[in-house]
Amino acid sequence: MPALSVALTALPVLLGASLASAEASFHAGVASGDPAAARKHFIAAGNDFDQLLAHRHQQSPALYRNLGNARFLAGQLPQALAAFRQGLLLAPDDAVLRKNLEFARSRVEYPPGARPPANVWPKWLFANLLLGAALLAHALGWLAWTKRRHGWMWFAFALAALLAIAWGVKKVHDLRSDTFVVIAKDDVPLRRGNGDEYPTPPDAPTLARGMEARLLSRRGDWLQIRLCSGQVGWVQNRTALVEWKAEH
Amino acid sequence: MAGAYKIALRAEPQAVHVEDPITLVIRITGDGPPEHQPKRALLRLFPARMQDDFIIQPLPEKDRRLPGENAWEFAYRLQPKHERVTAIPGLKLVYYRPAFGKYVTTYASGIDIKVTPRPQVLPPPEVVAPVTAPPSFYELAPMGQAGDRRLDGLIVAAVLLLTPPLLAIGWRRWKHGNGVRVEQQKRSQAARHALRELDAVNDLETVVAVVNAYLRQRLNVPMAEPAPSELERILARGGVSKALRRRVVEFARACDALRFAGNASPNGTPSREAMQLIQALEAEPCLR
Repeated sequence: MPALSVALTALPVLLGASLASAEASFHAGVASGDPAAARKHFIAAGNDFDQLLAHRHQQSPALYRNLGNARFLAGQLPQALAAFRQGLLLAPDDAVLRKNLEFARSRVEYPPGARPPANVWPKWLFANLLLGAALLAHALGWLAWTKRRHGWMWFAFALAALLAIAWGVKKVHDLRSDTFVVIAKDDVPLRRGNGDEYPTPPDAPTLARGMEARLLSRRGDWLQIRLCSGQVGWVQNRTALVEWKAEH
Repeated sequence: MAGAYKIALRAEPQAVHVEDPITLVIRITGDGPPEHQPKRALLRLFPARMQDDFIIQPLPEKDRRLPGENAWEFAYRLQPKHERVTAIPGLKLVYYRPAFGKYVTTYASGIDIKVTPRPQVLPPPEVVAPVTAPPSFYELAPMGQAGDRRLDGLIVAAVLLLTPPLLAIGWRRWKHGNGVRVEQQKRSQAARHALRELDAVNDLETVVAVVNAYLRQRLNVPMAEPAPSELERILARGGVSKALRRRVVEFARACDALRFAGNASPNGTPSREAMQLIQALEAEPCLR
C-alpha cells in the first residue's frame, strides 16, 4: 500500500516532468537553425508526447496535435497523420487538427486517383444528427406534457428513445469498424492474401508512406485494408500504423 | 589417404582486424595410390577448439592441384572472432603409410598473426532537408485549455437532456401558482365588492343577494340561494370552522325568517351582521 500511494503521488509529477521535457524539446527544435539538430529535438519531443499518451487519462486533442506537429516536423509523416487522425477522433470539429491533417495529407505521394477526397462527410456526423434528433424529440415530448397532449407526448418520447438507441448502435458500430490505417513505409506491396507468397494484383498501386486506408480485418501479422480507390488487399502489420482504440 | 605426404600452411594477410578474412592455404605434398590421394571431402584438419577463435569457411574455388610438384592446395577463409587470437594453430595430417604398414601423423607449424579491434566506423553525416510547414505546426496547443471534447459533448448532451423537463416542470409550476394567485385575487375582489355594497345598503333582500353572490364567487356555491342546511354542508366542505358555520347558518335562517314573515325592513342592521360574517370568512385560514 505505501508503494501504491507513493506511485500515485509521484505519477502527476512524472507526467508533468515529461510534458515539460516534451515542450522543451519541441521549442528547442523550433529554435534550432540546423535541420538535423532540429529533427533530433522533434523526435525527442514526439517520443515524450507518445509516452504521455500511453496514459489513457492524459489523452486529449491538444496532446495529439502536439504529437502530430512534432512528428511532422521530424519528417515522420505517417506518424503525424496517425496522430492528427487520432486527435480528430476526440475532437472531430477541431479546426487546427483538420487543417494540419490536410496539409500533411498533401505531402503524401498518392498514385493517380487514389488520393482520399478532401471533403468527405465525417463518420461522426450521422451519429450526431441522430443524437440531435433524439434530443429534439425529447424536448418536444416535454412540450407536449406542458400542453397536456399526452398522446403526442408518448409519441415524442418513444421517437426519442428509438433515435437514442439508433445513435448508440451507430456509435458502437463506428467504434468497432472504420479503423484507419496509415502506411508507414515506402514501396509496400498490396498483396492478394496474407502472405509474401501471394501476388500483387496487376492494377494495385505500390503503397507509399503516409497513404491512408481502412482496416477490414486482421489475420496473424497481416492486415486486410481497403484503399480510397476501393482496392482491397493485404499488408504486413509492421508496415502500417493502426488506429489506437480504447479496447485494444 | 594413403601414401607418403607432408603438410604446410600459408596465410595471407597475417595482420587483420577482428572478423577480417585471412586466406589459409593448406599444402599437401607427396604421392600415393591415385584412389587414396588427398581430397577435400576427406580432410579433417581443424581441431574443434579452433571454432572458438575463428569462423572457418571453405574456399573450394581456390583449391589447386599441382601435378608437377606432387602437391595439393586447399584454401579456407578464416575470420578471427576476437583480438585475443595470436596465431593460426598448427595442423596435423594423419594418413596411412603402406611402406610402414601403419598410420602416421605429420604436422604443419602454426602461423603467428596479429589481430586488432575493428576501427569504429562513423556513419556519414546525415543530410536532413529542412521541413517547411504552416505556422500552426510550430505552435504547441495549450494543454490547460485542451479538455477532452467528448467530455464537453457529454456535458452539452446532459444539459440538453435535462433542460426540457426542468423548463416544463417549472412552467407548469409557475402556471399553477399563477392560477392560484389569480383565484385569490378574484376572491378578495369578491369580498371587497360585497363589503362595499353592504356598506351602502340596509335592505334585507339586497343584503341577502349580496351575501349569496359573495358565497357563489368565494366558495363556488353552485345554486343562487342555497338553503341553510346546504350552505352548512358547502362551508364544511370548504373547511370553514364549525363556529363560523353556525353563525352563517343562523344568519341565513334569520334572514329567511324575516323575509318570509313579510318584514323586509327589519329594525336591526343585517348589512353590518353580513359584513362581519364576510370579514370572519375572509379571516378563515382555509379561504386565504
